[in-house]
Amino acid sequence: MKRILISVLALFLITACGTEKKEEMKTEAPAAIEQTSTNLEITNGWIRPSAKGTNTAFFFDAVNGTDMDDTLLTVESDIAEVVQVHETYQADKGMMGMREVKGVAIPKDSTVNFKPRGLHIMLIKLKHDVKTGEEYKLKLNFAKKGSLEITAPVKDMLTKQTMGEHKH
Amino acid sequence: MKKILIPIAIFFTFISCQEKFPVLDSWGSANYNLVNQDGEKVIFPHALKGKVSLVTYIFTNCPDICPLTTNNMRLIQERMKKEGINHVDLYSISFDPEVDTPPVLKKFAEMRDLNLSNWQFLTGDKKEIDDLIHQIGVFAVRGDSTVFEDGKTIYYYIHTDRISLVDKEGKIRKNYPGSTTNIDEVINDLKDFNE
Ligand SMILES: [Cu+2]
Repeated sequence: MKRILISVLALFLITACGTEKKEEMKTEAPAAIEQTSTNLEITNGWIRPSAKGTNTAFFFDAVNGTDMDDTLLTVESDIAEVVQVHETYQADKGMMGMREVKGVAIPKDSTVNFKPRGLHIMLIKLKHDVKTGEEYKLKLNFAKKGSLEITAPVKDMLTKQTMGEHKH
Repeated sequence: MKKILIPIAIFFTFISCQEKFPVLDSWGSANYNLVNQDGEKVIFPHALKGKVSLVTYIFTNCPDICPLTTNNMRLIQERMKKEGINHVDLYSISFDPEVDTPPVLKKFAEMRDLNLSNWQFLTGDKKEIDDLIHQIGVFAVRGDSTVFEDGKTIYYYIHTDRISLVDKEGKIRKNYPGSTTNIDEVINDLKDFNE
């Protein structure tokens, strides 16, 4: 009898607040090797929407399929007053910050992901609203490759990924 | 024997809930005079009392972390609606009030198509905000800045990345890691937590 009641007690303890879910750690993989070209290319570019006068970020993958190491030096854009290469980093006490970086190495045969919580291009003090659905040109300047012009859409990527049917 | 054990079982059930949502922090008896995105006065945390709240801390010039945290708040709000959770309100407090005036916050929400029916963006005097966040161990310090040709400077804050679960008494019962919050975990907690 006692035994049954003890197990009942234990059961209550376990079920009282539902099951504890371990937090999923999303691991960052800065340089995944996936050779898709024999050239240096920018793929999966996107810009986060933001209002005139504020800042936003441009994300993409830099795919270096060549056999030469390269470096992304600067980025140019007409939509912002200032454009900088930035990285987000973890500071003391779990705080998050970001800072400018001078050049990002894009090693041969590798892909460098510029993505949320990591490297990004800061578009500072937007000259006008940058809205979902629009597209803008950006120019990326590399040490060896020279300049690459690309067009990137404006989207809130995470929302789209997680909420498949989200409408705008 | 049975009669004794049933109250004990109930007691343990209660205790284990307390352990899952212990009081982590509180604003004590302090209240802060804030305004929302429409310029309406909000006495914080007094205005939160009587409902469970999720509170986050952001600045709108933040291009990376805060949009992710804001997006998580939106995903939580959408899931709440889907699952019929309606005892919870959402709040985003700006720790850069000199930039984040009510119109700036309103525009921030509009640009992201946010549903403000149970979600308010709050700002106030710098001192008031600093006191409010420091009281509960949230930090926002100026790091890098950009100086423009007109002499204006904008600052990038190094800041705590957090969403807090606040009870009906205005006490913090759990903290989630803002931009990397697990939405399922929050939803499960909200289903369990109504005190
Ligand atoms: Cu940045």
